[in-house]
Amino acid sequence: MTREQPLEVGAVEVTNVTAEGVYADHDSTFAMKARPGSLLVVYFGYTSCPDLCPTTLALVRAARRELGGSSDRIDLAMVTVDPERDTPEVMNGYLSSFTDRFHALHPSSMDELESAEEAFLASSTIVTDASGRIEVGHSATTYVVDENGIVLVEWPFGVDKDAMINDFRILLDRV
Amino acid sequence: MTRSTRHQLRQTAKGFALVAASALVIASCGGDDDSSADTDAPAGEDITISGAWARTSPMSVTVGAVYMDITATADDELVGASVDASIAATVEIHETVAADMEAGDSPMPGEEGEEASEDTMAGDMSGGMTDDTMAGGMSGEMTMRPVSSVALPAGETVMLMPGGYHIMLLDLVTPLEVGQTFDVTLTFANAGTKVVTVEVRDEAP
Repeated sequence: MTREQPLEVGAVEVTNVTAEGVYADHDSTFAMKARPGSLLVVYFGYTSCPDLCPTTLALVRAARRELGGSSDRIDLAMVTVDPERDTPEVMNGYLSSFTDRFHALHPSSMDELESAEEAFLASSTIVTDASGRIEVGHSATTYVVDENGIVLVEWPFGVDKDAMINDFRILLDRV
Repeated sequence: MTRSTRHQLRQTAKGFALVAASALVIASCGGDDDSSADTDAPAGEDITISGAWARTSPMSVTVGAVYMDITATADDELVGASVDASIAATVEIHETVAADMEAGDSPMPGEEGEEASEDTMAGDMSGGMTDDTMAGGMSGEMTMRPVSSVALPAGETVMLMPGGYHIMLLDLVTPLEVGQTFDVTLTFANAGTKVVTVEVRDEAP
């Protein structure tokens, strides 16, 4: 499906700042595992991203809408790669626009962010150029994780909505 | 440019003819456009813009992106875009690119050449799970960069679309909401300016 040896990310813990939605009541850290019988969609991005991040998250939103009731078994976790600008408040508002089943994950240090990225083979870079413009580079893969912290599928940016829905249906039958 | 051409190929191959068809319905063309300009019409310059849309802006953010298809009948360049100050304070033309292109490891569809795109697509459309051996286990980063112009080769439809070129709106005055429309004034190197009406949507048309 993806890799001969799927990524295992269940040991990854990221500071959890979820304050709205279904999971507002939570522990201070979030481990990268789905609820039993559910799927966890994980994305590394930043809220002031106008193109890749909202494209991907809107796609997940559209897929969840088409899946109807079974989308209750699909949660979304976004790890910000821009924790300085993405305050907890900003992240909660942003993610609320896409689903109420979200986990807003806000690394408390660059080490914490890098550890999480390493487990997913993700990466990001933030540079401020001479004119003060902040440029964020980041890998834009969308991951689906099961209750054991195994990455079941990795969608590259640009995945087709029907393919995503198809994958969700297959995976929801399995978990 | 080449990337847009590849996107176009992908879309065509994916059978997204509907995109083009529905786009024409909301096409808004400049006054000197006969609005039925055929892409291979060899006549004097004519610019056709279709499928212009902007994504709804999530709460808490003040950036947005506008996408559209542009076809010029003679070689031209898109060199600027603006909106009324009641929409956004700043407008820039941006391109999403692989952050480290010389590493030759980009997960962006279309970036690895047309054959790679076709492969990705075949996986997307197969009956089972997507076969996304993408990026060979690496994590190619993507970033945005402002561009001063977008080349519009004669007769070629250049698509401003997610993952490629977009018109970025900064400092949105109010969130972009479904059903809203607003005008974007585009400036071309040769064809002057054109005003296009943009529809705010959750998803691409």
